[in-house]
Amino acid sequence: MSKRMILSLAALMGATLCLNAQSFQEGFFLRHNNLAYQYNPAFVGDNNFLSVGQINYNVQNNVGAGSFLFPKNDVLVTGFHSAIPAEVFPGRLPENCRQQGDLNATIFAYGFHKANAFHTLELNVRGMYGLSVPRQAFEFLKKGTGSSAFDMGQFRVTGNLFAEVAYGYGRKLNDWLSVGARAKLLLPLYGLRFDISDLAVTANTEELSVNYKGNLYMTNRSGKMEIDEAGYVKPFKFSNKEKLGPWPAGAGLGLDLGLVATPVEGLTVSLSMLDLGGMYWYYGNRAASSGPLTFEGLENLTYEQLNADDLKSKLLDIGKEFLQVMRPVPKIDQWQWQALHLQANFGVKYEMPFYRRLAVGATGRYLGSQGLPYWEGRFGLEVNPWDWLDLTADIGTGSRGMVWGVAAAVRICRFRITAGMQNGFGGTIPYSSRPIEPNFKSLSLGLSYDL
Amino acid sequence: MKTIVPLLSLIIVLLASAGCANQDYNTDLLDKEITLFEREISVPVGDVGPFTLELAMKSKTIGSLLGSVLQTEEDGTIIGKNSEDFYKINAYEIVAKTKDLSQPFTYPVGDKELSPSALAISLLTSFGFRPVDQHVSIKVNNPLNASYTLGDSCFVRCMNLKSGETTFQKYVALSGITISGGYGTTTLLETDIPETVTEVPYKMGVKGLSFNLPADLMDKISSSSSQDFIFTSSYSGHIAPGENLNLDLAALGLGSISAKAKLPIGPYRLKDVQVSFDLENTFPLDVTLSSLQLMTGEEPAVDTNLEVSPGTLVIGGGSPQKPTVTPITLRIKALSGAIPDITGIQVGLKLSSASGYATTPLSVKQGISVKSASATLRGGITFGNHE
Repeated sequence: MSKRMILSLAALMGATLCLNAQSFQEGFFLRHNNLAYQYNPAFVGDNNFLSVGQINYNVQNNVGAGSFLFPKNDVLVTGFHSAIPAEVFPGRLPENCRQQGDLNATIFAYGFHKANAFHTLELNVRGMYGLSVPRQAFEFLKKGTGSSAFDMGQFRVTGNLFAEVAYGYGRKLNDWLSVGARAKLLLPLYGLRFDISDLAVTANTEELSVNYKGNLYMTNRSGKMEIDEAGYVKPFKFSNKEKLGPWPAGAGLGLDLGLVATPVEGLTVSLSMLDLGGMYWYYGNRAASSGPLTFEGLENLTYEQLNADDLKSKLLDIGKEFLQVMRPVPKIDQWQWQALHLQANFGVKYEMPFYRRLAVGATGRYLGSQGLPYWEGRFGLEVNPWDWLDLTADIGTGSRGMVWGVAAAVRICRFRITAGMQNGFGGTIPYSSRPIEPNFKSLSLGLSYDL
Repeated sequence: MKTIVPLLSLIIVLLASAGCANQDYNTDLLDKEITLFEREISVPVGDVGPFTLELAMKSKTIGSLLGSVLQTEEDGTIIGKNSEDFYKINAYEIVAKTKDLSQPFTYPVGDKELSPSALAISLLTSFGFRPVDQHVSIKVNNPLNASYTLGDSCFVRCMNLKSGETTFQKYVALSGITISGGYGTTTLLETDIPETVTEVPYKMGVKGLSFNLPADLMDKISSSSSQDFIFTSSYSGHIAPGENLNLDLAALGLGSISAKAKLPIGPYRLKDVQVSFDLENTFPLDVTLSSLQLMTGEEPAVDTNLEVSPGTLVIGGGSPQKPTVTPITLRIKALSGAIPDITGIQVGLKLSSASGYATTPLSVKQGISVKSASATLRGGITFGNHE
């Protein structure tokens, strides 16, 4: 691959990333897609191939910028502006405001025919992240609270990175039916999870108290968290003196299953289940902190201290006391199970008898992301005007509203380049890619070489 | 079929445009004003104080008024003290006026007295306070290196100014008193004024004063210290709220009293603030706030847009040993708009003696304390875009 081509690909990838696209449903429609087995392992490729540098990234959130920002007259105001009624904000927020993302970067993929079957070998690096903020937190800030405890639910931040070694097997059972499976060995690399649960705020005339349970989980490849003399954890300081845990930080298995049928000429029906399974993570760094933090009023405040500077100083002291109480204590290392985000796909396409280079079809998908399940259905159109170019576009609806997607596959000599993006309607904030409506976006980019 | 390609391209362009920027959401035009806790939020504030007379006396206004005339004892009790030289005659003047120094003589100087009107307590009694623990004395020094005697008497007298009735008096005959030599001071009269007496001394002094001096007076006069015969009266007394104390500023024609305050809460656009607290009072005074209004503006003026309720408060009197606790809930509400910066407070004030504390001395340690204070805000707190 020439340097110019690499640079061009990098530029294309960068440009497309800025557009925020979605996972590669459109790959189902593309005819020259060597990586279709990732969508359904029953897809048997036309030829042997080698692929490097494929990226698939999707991110979804159940709230958009429009959930927090509101045009008002000639300006934009936040939901906390007095002009926005509580019924609108946070009244229209979901119970938990979430954002999740999945990244799959294929370092290397090799597909080959042997013994009447199509085999694939892959090395992937995958990552997942999630962020969850309860609506009750916004309710509390917007409206205040009564005298009883105000339950805020759970805050959570997660992120992890793991390696995936996959072997795929696809076989045509007969003229109209193919089956396939991919087995994946999952090797956790880095993981982080921080959550605050049982968070309740009591704000009344007698006390201002915050009850909570905070838990921090980290894999310990970067070392053990340091512990101070008082026995509290320094969460962002690591020591390499202590023995590190196993590498990789756990293990797991995943499985993809697929079935492709062509009951009549030109009609293709696809069913697949991806990412069945999960992995055990070894969290060698664990810490916890719990409430309550209670403030019952300022003590020993004299009349001379009733001024801004002294009051600020007193409040800072209280803040420092709170931080002291919140210091996390170390906890015993723990193994934890984490399921992959199960994906179920259905697709059907039909090549027009009068013009075989044109196909229409539909896809459906369910993504079982923890706490943020997603489904969608799309109608698609594909055209393959020349052998070297394949274009597809689709439109549909799902649990995040109306969606659309486009993809293209280009074949140049033995190189095949595929690129696809999916997005939702509703626009974005100017000068940024932040969606205004709840959204599911994905980007897919792949490069393969026919052997 | 070749039209399919441009058609598809058009569809793609249209779909892609769905993700375009919406200028209504241009964050360059973001109004950063936020209002939190729009319905209600309560927070504990805690304890503040005490605000004592000692603090008041440190203030420029009250301190200069009280501090110049009243003092405090070690235990904090406020005491009025007065010591005054009410008569003084030089020994050489006596020598000059005496014809025959070789003979003992009597030097009649007549009556000498004073009204201890400088006492702050006498001023305060006109408002209904009363003196307690009163103590008076009259002393004379001796500028001679020899003893001498005095004639006639010295006295102290209290009188009810309204009725003209003498409520207390004490006379001491001076003839029996020898002023010993050696340049010292001799007490001529010393007495406590009974608790039943509610007046400060009206007159103190000597009546028909005469000296019986040694014949060799010239030789006995001190050469190093004072050569004056000095008569000194001393007074001390505490002050307490009298049974009849009823200090009503309105009745006195003073109306309400105003004080400047600085509470810069305007930027937060509060609408309704309720402050609750227990007011602990160790003053032996019942305090009635007959009106309570807030002032705003650079030149503080009562703001009629601010409703303060309740308008009347009664705070019972107590003592450090037995403080009274009065639960108070104050609500400040803007009738329209928001509460601006508070720049003053205007109150109608009435003080009266608390039951059982009519003879309890005032002390700088007495005061008021705010206990278990809390604030409840309704209508939100606004941040950002402050002018």
